[in-house]
Amino acid sequence: MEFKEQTACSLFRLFEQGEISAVEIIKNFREFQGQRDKDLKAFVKTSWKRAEKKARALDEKRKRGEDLPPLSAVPIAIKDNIARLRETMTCSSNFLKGFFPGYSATVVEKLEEAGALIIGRTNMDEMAMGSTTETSVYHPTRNPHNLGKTPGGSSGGSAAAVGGGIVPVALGSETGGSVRQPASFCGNYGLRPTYGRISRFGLAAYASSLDQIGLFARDPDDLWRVFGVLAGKDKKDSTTVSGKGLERKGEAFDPEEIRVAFPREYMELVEDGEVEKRTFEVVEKLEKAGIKVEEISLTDPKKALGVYSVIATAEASSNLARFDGLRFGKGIEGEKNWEELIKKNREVGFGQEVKNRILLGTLFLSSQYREKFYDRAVQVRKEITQELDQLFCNFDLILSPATPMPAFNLGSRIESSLEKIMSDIMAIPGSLAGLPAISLPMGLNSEGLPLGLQLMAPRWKEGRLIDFSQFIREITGYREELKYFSEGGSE
Amino acid sequence: MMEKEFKTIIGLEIHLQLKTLSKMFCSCSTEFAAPANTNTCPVCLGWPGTLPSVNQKAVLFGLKGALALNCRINRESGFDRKNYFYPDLPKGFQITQYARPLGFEGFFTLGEKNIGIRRVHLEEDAGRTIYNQGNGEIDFNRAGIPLVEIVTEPDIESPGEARDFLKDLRLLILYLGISDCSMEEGSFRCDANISLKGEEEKISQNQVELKNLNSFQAIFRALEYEEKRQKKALLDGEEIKGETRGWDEKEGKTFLLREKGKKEDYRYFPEPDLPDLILRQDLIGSVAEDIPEPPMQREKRWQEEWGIGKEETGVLISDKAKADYFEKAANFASPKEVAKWIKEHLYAHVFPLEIPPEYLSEIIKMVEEGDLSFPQGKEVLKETLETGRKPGEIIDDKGWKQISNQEYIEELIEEIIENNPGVVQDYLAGKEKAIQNLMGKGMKKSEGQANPQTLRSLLEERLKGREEDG
Ligand SMILES: [Zn+2]
Repeated sequence: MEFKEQTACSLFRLFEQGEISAVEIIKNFREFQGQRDKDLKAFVKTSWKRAEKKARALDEKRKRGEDLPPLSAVPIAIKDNIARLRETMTCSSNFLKGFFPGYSATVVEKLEEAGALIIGRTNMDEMAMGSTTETSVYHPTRNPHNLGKTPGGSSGGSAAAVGGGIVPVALGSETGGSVRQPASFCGNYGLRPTYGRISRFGLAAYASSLDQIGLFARDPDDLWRVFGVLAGKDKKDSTTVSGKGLERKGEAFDPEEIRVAFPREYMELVEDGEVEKRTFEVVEKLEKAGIKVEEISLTDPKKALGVYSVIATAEASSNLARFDGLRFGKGIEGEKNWEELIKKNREVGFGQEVKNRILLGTLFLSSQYREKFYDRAVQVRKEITQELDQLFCNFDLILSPATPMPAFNLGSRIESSLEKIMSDIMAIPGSLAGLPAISLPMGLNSEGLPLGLQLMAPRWKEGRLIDFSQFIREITGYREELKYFSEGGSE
Repeated sequence: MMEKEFKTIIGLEIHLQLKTLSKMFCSCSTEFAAPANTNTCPVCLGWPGTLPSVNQKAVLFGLKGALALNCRINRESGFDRKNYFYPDLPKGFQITQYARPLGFEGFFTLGEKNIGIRRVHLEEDAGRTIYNQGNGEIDFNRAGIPLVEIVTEPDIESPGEARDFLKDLRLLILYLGISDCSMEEGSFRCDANISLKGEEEKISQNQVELKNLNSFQAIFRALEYEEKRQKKALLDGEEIKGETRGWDEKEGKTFLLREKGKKEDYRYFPEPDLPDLILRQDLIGSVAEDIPEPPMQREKRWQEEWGIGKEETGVLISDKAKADYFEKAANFASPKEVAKWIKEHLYAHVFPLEIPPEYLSEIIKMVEEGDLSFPQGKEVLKETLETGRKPGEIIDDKGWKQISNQEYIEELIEEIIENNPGVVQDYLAGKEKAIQNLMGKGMKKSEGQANPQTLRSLLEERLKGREEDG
């Protein structure tokens, strides 16, 4: 049996039935990670010893015949901006090298309670700012389907770990499209839950009103299983919401009841012929299967992108003000004047991309520009949200490509910030509106690179996203084109 | 030629630390004297990944303050971030209420005048910098302690009025029980803005902000100094610059802290980590019901309804526990007498007293009605305070109860007269001193319990009547 090819759900079942032990699972995954990550560089830190200890405890638990929680013996990776007790959290930034947060994020507590084996922390763009994982202070991560390509970002490490077969499930985080874009580039399912569905306590903030923890998997059922563990009101995060049930129809799901909206403004952004062609193929297949897909018109996502840039950088300029090198993180020595000290610490601590965004955000909030930029952006955000909510009165899902292009070459876009942002433009309107969305495999292009499809749903309807993704998988077979476990990968 | 006249315009900003057990946005303790940096956690230290959660008690306290200051309440208010860098500010921003304060457009009645309250809002305190041999060390115990900021309209017209306002405001807050209001411990802090305006002029001069004023006396003196300084400058034809000044207690002078050149840009925006603060009408109602009668109004009522002197009410009102105790005791005895007793005989005691107010009024009433002599009353009070025993029991044990009952005393007198005809004869013959002898017999017969004044007056009346009879 190939351990690495198992899904989270199947690993749990095998473990529960006593066919494999948790310690064996850890041993096998460790071995594969050791080989595979030499190429991918998806991880910034592994915690095999801790995972193994936990695995032994789980084996004991099973032997005693106790109830096994839903993620027992499932190896999971977390992004390096999620806090875990007794582990460093660096956000792939020089500033936080060696920083121990001293507490665990709510999602980490929930994973641990659910029996998951957290095996390590994954690489990311510094402070989650970027879309290639190249602004990491450590190293760029490579795309498992082509080592010369980017895995996307900012959650590129988690996407590559799942897409490269190292773990069945990983956690990432999204502000704009930092889960859906890399999921698309690496051939994964990537879920962004409704804003307020999963606690952000313990997630280092980029832009609080947009940040949300997201998940990567190779299988919709795995996403649902982990999502179910993480979802819920948390009193440590006042923006989480209670009383919203988790609802997935599963067997009872009737795709023919689903009315799909297909916005032409999204298609107009597509830069790649194969992405365009494949998206129309999906629409055709859906129609053939009896699903009603209707072309509609929505606000140009480029307008949403402008709004997003203002709000995200404005909030970031404030969220990142705490990094002064005085209380935590790395500070320089020998400077007596605190103003100079903070300046120098921030000069040395942050990379260029982060500095750019802080500067922009500071400008957008300044009394001189606030009305023109920040206030205006907040207003347009409201309008975009209303437009999408309105559309969902008549439709059940919005379908579009996940990205305008497949993964691009490493290093190719590092110069141009704007183009990098364009790669997650499809994700932006939904993020601004706080809606749940998923990116799912849409097969491979002629170069063997994964393509991705995006579905957006009304608030709290993650279950519908999972059901419909499963349905698309069945009628298209695109997911089955993906090879996750080939070692090496071509360049 | 007459000297040019100026009008003084003063506005105040008061920061109160709220008396909650935990901080504004985390569960750390707010204890004052804890060792440096022991009351801290990742949230109040602003560590990455942490999020604030609102302390509901602090909201209720803030609401109580806003209501007591007659404010209009924003039923949908919220928090904002005020962004600036300072070493004692852990997150690089302060969570405060900017666009939508909890309360606005209130007033505070000072004597015959209303001072406008511009706004009352909630925010978090910053850490405290301790200077140690030229190095700044920061204690984050204070960071995140809930504050209420009260901003007045510039309605105050003299340093004396500013001081009176602050004293009365402090008393009101103490009555509300939402803050300790200790200037020494920094739980009551005040900044003042002062400017002058020529009688004829429409616009006032630039404002000078006075900071670091840590006693009522300092506030008064600094404002008085500043009033004089600005007046002199204006008469000399100088311009008043908008600036922030400190107060040098030793020199008795204000001094320049910094000029107010460009206004600092705090880049306010709504706090995205906290939802709007929605206050239900029934909650506002129940907090309003919980607000006690304002002390100034209460004091006036005592003076007007009970005729108690200013000196006594002043002593009673300054301490809410004392005032409440007094009011309860005054239900069972003459309020005037109770006030006098508290002021004169209980000034050194901590209120509420260990004994129920009924005990105190019982003693006072007995002395008032002659059932107990004054020294006996004081002795009983002392004992009941020490032992907590009922005054009646103590009096019984001591056998001190005076009998003023007229019927009893009249019977007693008949008995003495009948048994001592010789002494009565002496008295009637003009030996005035003989009455002492009869008094002594009466007291002995009553085992010391007859009220001597009653006994004497009735005895004299009886003997004189006999005189007339004879
Ligand atoms: Zn704390």
